[in-house]
Amino acid sequence: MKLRHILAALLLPMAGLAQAQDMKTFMDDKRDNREANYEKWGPTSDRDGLGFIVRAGYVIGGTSPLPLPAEIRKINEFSPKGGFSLGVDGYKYFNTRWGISAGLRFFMQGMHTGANVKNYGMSIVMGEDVVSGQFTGTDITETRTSGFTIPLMATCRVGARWTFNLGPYFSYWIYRDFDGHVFDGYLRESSPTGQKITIASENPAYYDFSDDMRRCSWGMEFCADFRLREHLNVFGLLDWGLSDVFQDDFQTVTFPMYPIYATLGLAYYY
Amino acid sequence: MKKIFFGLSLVAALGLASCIQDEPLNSECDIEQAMVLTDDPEALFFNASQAVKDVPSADTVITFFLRDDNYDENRLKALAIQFEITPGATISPENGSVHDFSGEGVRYRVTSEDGAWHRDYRVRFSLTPSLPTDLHFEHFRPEPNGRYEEWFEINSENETVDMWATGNPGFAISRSSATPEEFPTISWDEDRIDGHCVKLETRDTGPFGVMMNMRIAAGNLFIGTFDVANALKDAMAATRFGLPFNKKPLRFEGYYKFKPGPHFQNRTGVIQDGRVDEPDLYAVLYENTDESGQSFTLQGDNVLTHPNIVALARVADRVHDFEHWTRFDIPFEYKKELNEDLLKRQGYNLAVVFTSSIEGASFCGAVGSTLLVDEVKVICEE
Repeated sequence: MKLRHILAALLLPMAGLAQAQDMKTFMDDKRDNREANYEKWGPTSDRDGLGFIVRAGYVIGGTSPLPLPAEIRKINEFSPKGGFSLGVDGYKYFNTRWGISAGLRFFMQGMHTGANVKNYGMSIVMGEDVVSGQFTGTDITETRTSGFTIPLMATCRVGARWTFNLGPYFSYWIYRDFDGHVFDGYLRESSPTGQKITIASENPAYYDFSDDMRRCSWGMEFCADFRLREHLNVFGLLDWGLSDVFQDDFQTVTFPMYPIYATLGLAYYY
Repeated sequence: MKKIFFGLSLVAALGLASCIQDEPLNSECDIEQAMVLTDDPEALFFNASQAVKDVPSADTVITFFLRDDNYDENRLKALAIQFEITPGATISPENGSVHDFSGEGVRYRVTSEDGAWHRDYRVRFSLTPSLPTDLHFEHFRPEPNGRYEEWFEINSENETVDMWATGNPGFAISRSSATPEEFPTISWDEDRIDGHCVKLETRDTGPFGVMMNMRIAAGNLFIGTFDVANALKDAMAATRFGLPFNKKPLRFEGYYKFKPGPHFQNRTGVIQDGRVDEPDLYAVLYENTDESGQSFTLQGDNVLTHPNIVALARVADRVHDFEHWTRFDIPFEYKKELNEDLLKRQGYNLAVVFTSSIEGASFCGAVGSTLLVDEVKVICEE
C-alpha cells in the first residue's frame, strides 16, 4: 500500500512538472534554435563539456523480494529509515546531447516494514540446523545500510532543461543491518500437511542476518535532472539493485532480496 | 517527449504491479475439531465434554474414549460426527454423515481448497485402556520419521498403551541435524537395572533455541501428551501431564542415577556461578475436571501446585551419584479424600514425571545434567 503511494509521490510530480512548466519551453525549443536554448540552460561546450554536479537528497525505498510473491497478503506498515545521500558527479559531454558521468556518493538508507504473509515458503538455516516450511502470520523487518556508491552513467540531454542519466552503479556498504521478527502465526513444517508450530506474539522468533549481508553490491541507476534555474537542478534518481543483499553462500532466506531506493533532491552544477 | 512519459509511466506501472497479488487458495487440510452428534452424550461418555475433541495438528487418528460401565457396541453402529476443518477444504465421506463406528472405525479424507494437498484420518471409539503401573522402559520405537524414540507400555489386557510423552518433538524442531542419540530423552542399555533404562540429558538447543529464548532442552519423560504445536508459543502449556487412572496409588518407587552438568545457566543463557542443577522425579494424582465440568489437565506451571491435586509423591533428597543406582520409595501424600465413585468414573488422572533439570520447564539448567531412571512402580491399593 505504502509502496504504491511512494512510487506515485515520486513519479507524479516529475511528470507534472514536466507537463506544466516544461512543455511550453520544450515546444519553443523545437521552434527556436535548439543549440541556443541548450546554451542558455547550461552550455555543453564550455570547458570542453566538462563539469561537476554536487547532489544532496532524501532517500526512500526498500529491500524486497521481486516480484512481491502472492504469499505476501498485506503490507501493514512501511517507513523509510534515516535516508540521505550526498555526493558529487563529474560529467563530460561529447556533443550537445550525449556525454558520460561518474560520481561518488555517501548514503544512508533503510526501511522498516511489517507484512502479513500466508503459506509463505521459507527456510531458516542456522549452522547445520534447518527449519523450513510454510509460514502464515506477521513479519516485521528492519534494514539499514550506509556506505559509498559509484555510478557510471551515460548522460543524455533530452531537452534544454531535462537530462537523463542511465548506467550501472557499484556500492560498498560500510554499515549494514538486517533484522526482524515473526509472530502471531504458525509454521507448517516441510509442507502444508506438516506439523503446525505456533509462533505467538508473546514469544516472537527473532532473527538478525546483518553479518550475512554483502559489502559490495551493484545495480542500475536512472537519474532525471530538471534545470530549475541556472546552476540548480532538482533531481530524482532510482537505484535498482541487481545483486541480492545477502552473500552468495547465505542460505537462510531462500529468496533473493534487492535494494530499491529512490533519491529526491537538489543538485548544484557548474 | 511522449516516449519519455510513456517510459516513466511504465516504471510506475511495474512498481504498482509488483504490489499485492490475488490471495492464493488455502493449502491446508486439517480436521481441527471433531464432535459426536448425539442427544445423549452421557450414554457414551462419563463426561459430556468428551463428545468434543480438539485435534492436534500432528494427529491423524482421532479416538473417542467411551465409558466402560455400560459399554454396548450397538450404540456405535449409527453415529454421526461433525468436523471443523480448514476453511475451504472438503471432507469425504460427507461431514456429519452417519456411519458404523464399531470395529476399526471410519476413514476420512480432507482435501485442501487448492486441491493440491490431502490428509487421511481415522476416527475410532475405544474403551479407556488401563494404565500399567510397573514401568520398565523396555518398549520403545522410532517415531514415523525415525528422528527419535517414543515409549509405550503393554497393559495386562495385552494392549499397547501410548502413555509416555517427551519433549523430543520440540528438540527435533530446533535441532534438525541431531542424530537419535543426541536427543534429550533416549533409551540406554549401557547402564541399567534391567534391560534398558531411560536416559534423560539436558541438551543445548543451538541457534534456534537462542532465537526463541529456549536455550536448553531438559531430558524428560512423563505420562501425558506433548503438544508440540504450542511448544514455542507456551512451553509450560505444551507439557500436558497425566492420563485417566482408576486405582488408588500408595507408593512411588524405582531407581535413578544423577550427575549435574558443569554450568547452570538461566533463561537468557547467563552462567549462574555456584548453582548446581537438580533432577526431579514425582508422581501426582489429580481430579481431571474443573468446577464447570470441563476436562482439565495439569501443565508445566501448575503440576505441583494446582488445587485439583489429590496426592503427590516426590523424590526429595536427590542424590548426586553417577556411580551407583539410588533406590527411592516415596509414599503418596494425600491432600484430599479420594472419591471412590469418581475414581471408577475415570475422574482422576495420574502423571509420572522425570526430568534431568528441575527448572527445565522454564529453560534454566545445566547442559549435560544426566538422569538415568529404571524399574519404576506405582504401588496401588488392590
